[in-house]
Amino acid sequence: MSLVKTSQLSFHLVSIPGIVIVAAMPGFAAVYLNVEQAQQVIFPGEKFTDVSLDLSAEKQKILEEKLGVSLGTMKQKIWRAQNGGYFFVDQVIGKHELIIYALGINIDGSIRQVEIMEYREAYGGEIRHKRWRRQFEGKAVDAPLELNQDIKNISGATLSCRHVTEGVKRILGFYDIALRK
Amino acid sequence: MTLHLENKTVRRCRPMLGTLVEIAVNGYDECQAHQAINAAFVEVERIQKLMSFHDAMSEVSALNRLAAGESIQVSVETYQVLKHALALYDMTQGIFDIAMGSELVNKGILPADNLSNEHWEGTTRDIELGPHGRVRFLKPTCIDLGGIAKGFSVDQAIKVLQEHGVPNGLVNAGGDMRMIGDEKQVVWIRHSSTLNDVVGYPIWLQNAAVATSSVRVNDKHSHLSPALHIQMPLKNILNEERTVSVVADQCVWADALTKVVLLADNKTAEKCLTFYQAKAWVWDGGGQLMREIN
Repeated sequence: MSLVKTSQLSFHLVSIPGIVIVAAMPGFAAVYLNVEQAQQVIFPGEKFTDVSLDLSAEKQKILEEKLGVSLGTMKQKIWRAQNGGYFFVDQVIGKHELIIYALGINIDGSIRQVEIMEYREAYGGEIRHKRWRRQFEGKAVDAPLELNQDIKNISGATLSCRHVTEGVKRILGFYDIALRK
Repeated sequence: MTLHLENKTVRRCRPMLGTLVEIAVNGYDECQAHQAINAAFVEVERIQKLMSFHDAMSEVSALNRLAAGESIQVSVETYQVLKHALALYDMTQGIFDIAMGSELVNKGILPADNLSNEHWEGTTRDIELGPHGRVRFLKPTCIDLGGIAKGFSVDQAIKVLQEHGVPNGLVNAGGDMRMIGDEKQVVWIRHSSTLNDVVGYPIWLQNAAVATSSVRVNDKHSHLSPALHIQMPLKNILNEERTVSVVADQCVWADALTKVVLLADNKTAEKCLTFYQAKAWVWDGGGQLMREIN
């Protein structure tokens, strides 16, 4: 192949000569969708009814054995869509993060869609980070950057979606035993 | 969904590409924003299916099953990524090499499930790109596009947003991101040493892409490092923690060039960055800025 030079559409990189640290740095947090929005994203136009499960002791035992978790620790909420699908809201907690997500299951039991509703990272690097902060001290303010503001974009070491994947598997197992007809 | 007349930011996030992929659209009708985002997610999923090493049905897996001299026809997208990889291989004298799949399998980083061969000897140079999307391996070669495909997926998602008329948007695939529009946004760079705690150095960007790769040394989290994908043949060089961020106009370049800056000598790194009109920052394990290139 021949080398193709990137387009001339130039990007604008605005370097920062300095900023002032005004406060401790928050961890990353984002709210993407509320329950109603997530329902409409996954099952557009559908209406939903709450599902409250009244599981027999026997079924509970089977579930707990199969899923390897105590049902009391499962935090999911369940809705049934008019078309027969199911909509779950669940949360997974890792060492460093809390993720609330929605899962839609089709009438045939297949996964329809997974959407992250809320994502929150643990906070705690303030002291460890003093050394990093020092590099900005005493420099001119170029941009009004308040570190308490919502941090929207992070490039760099990020979390895997492993916990969500595990959560989805757990819900599918739960669905199989408790809801599937 | 209820139609709102005001144009607020719509942000969505899905687990994809082994990470969380976030897509945001600003200054656009909310309904249309959701439609554009849905289509962009579908595109990311499509690229993932084409290029996943883990998926036996992917084109990458099909290529890895090729015997020497055998060829198959691949999608325009896979062909394009291979073309990029070949260019980078040449420009870095082989440092950027996607034919590292077998070593990654041997180290247990990638699964061996979809492979039929055990004797790979090819490098990226042994990939021959023919007419009509045909790809031939001159020697049995095991490729993994982990060091470049994520950035490419981001570019494809951005393309879909643009096709939907989105004026301001952002796609962030686990830290490899690109934004379009007039809006100037701050991106925080997080170092490997501060994983999950806090975010580091801020960079303001507009109409640009940024990617970050870190190398951690002797650490149980080392599997998190995308740079590992090309670290193997040069492991003696990289024995210190490093974080590299690259800004370029396309995410595929930003993604791939982080690996080049991590592994290549200064001169080669500068040459590549200049060619792709990119800029790089290098931090040490403590989060101290070591150098800026270009």
